[in-house]
Amino acid sequence: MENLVLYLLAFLVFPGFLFTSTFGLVVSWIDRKVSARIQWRVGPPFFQPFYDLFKLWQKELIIPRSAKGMAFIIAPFIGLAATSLLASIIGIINLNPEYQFVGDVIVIVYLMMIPPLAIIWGGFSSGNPLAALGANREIKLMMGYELPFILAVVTVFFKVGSISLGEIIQYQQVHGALLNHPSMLVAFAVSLLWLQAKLGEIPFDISEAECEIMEGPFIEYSGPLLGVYKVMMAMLHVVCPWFLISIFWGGTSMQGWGILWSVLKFVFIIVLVIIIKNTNPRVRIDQAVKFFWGWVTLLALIAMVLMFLGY
Amino acid sequence: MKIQEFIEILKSKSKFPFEVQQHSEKRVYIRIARENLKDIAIVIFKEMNAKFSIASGVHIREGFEVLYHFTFDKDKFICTVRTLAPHDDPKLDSLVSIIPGATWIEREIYDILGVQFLGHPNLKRLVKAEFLGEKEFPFRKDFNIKKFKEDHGLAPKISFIQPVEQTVKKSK
Amino acid sequence: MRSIIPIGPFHPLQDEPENFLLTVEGETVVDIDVNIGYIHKGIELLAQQKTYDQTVFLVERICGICSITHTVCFCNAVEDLLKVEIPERAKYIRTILGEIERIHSHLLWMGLAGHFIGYNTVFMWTWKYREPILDMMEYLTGNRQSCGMLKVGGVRRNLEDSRFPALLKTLSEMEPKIKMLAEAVQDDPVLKARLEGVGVLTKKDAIDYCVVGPTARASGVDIDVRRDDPYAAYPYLDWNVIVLNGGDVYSKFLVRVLEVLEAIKILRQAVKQIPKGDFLLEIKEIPPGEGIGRYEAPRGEDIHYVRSNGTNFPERLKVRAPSFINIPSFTASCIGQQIADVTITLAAVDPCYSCTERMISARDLSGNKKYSQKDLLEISHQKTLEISRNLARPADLPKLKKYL
Repeated sequence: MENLVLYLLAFLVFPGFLFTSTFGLVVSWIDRKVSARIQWRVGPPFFQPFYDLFKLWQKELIIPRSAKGMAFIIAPFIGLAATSLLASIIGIINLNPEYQFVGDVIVIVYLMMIPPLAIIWGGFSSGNPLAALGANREIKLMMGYELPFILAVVTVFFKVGSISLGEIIQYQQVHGALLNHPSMLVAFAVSLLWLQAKLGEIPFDISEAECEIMEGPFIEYSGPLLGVYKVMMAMLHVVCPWFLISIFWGGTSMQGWGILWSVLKFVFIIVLVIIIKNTNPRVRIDQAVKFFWGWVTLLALIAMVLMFLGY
Repeated sequence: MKIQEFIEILKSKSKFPFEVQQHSEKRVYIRIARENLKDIAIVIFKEMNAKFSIASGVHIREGFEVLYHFTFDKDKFICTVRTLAPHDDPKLDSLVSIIPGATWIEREIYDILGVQFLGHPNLKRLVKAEFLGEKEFPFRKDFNIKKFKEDHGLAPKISFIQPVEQTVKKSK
Repeated sequence: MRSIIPIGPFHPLQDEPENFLLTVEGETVVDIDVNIGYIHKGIELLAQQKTYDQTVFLVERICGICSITHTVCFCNAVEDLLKVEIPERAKYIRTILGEIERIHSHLLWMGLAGHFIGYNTVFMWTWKYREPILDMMEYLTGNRQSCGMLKVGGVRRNLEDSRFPALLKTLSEMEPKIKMLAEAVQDDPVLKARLEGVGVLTKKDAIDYCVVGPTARASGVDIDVRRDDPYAAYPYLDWNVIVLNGGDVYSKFLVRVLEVLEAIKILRQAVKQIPKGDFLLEIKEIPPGEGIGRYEAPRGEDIHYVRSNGTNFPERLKVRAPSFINIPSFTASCIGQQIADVTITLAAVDPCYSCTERMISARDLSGNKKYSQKDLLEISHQKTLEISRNLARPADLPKLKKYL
């Protein structure tokens, strides 16, 4: 019984829903502020993302007549639940690497596919042609970016000789961060490209493309449901970089200077994402899929070959 | 090619009569009968490589005058071909099959003046507001805007001075 | 499976209501239908109830961007009807205003094009570069847009010679930035991949659909009214017509960037050569007759047809803005494209956006404040004065001499 309460706390408060969503909204403020400074603008005040969310909660919920009722409402919550679960798993293992179960990285990679699937489901069930088009693009993009990423993660498995996140972190605590090896650097680069696509940032925000299909799958969402999606996306902005830090960069620590160091790692990845976002135009879906299946997959294979050669 | 030479060439190529009125060194106006519209369009647009700029429709006493402005960019002049569709039979040949760029302007003239273009692939309304009916053409001289507004209840019922007076009273 | 994707009447792509119905199969567009008329203002009919002097102000309101375009074009048409030559100084003033307008219009389009392909940094940067040139317009004429400078027979007000050095200074500050933009467009591989070969309008289609302006010049059709039917001071100046052969969005982008550089060149010469003297020809009476005016607007050839019956109201005014003839060419350039490409192709002819831009700040520093019309007018006057003060203080005038 006590365990159950602890699990619920981990899921709902720390490091699950509440912590990650708050942190995610701060990250979205960093995103907006840095983008604004790059574009010679002033940018929003610190609490703007919270105000936005608060405003969305107060708004009327409109469910279009063409929508398939329940699916339309449930989809965002499924995405949110999956992201919270992800956050609690990654968070707990980072706090205490002993606390693990066999094959948890596979579970994490699997869970990470659920938020895009939720977006696709919600888009298709809204009954809007533009949303269907956006969902269609999201499927294609997902097929594109998951293959090289899984190759990169498998490279890590072989290097460490384990498929458990706790053991990967412990290995790095003993031998130093995996990034010190050239092969892992290449795999990390692949993962960064995956991150850009996963977070739906330019140049891979093809499924939302506001000037082409008007936010795609989100077009019919309004009010609280849109707010749920916003929170989900904000949480993904925390969870995905956190996972990359865990498997490539020695994980995060909550003691002493480790906190500062962890935050710096995190900010580095986020700022990199923002800079890529602000210096590129949006690509076409066929160009994106070709890019991921061609160059990026090649890069992942090179990483694997380098790793087997011992680099 | 000066305008004089252009007229000579046009005379040798065409088998129909036309009337020339030269306005200045850069502008020439040609009047033709409406039966010959397509022929002159072929000669000027296809054979002499002019650019079709636009057509203007005017309601005059004799009927609906449509002016096709062709620009000769290399030779620096404009040739305007004018033709007339009488009141009782407002029909002209469509030039879309020869000049694809004329699609919209023919639709516009049809919309505002009510001239039918025979052979237009998609002759439907373009710019006119939806509350104007198919038979109401605002650019005809007999179109009475005041009467139209009263008929459709579009005339302003409140005079514009009233709100100003109210604000003045409040401020006192 | 075919479905219809509507773009508009209200869509982030269009600032003005226009409706494109794209019939798509998957991502590929197989048919396109364009509906306009949502903001038909009835200006041609209204012009028949205004005097010639009032009509100049009326045609200025056709478009928020091309306010000089339509006024000069209308004046050209009436002057063609009258067969008069306007004074030299008026010609140069028209040229200067027209080229300033071309620069800011092209920069506006480049920013929007960046926005349409998701490149918001380009959007913000070009609009930042555009601001000084609008300030310059305000400094010279008193207003950023719709400055009311034109009159049949010349210009309504003179431009002061003492204000030209500041214009030259702004231009020399702007030129390196535009050059940087041109290089960035030519070097960026992602931008090139996104724009090259997209929305190709072949030369044959360009001639058949009679497209004009940068749309035609990017397809290899060598037309430019400034050279082909000279008006204002263009015959006295040395400049080039930019013609590229690609026909795709990339060429259209490049044509516009290079035209901005040409416009800077024209402005420099015009300021140097402008003669002193009269700037308005007194016109008493307009006889019955017809006149056609042409003008090379930023978007292409603008053409006005004026018919007079001897009264002081025009009997008929026909206005053909360049977008009217450019938009039907979508049929040729969009079919067979992907949706992602169609949006930028639709934007690439630069369909004219009526926008009124006056406000810099809607909120003062102390907090939220709503302004009444009177306050706004006051702020606007203050800003004009401020620009005049900042751009050329009396103490700075000797320093600015080096730009002459």
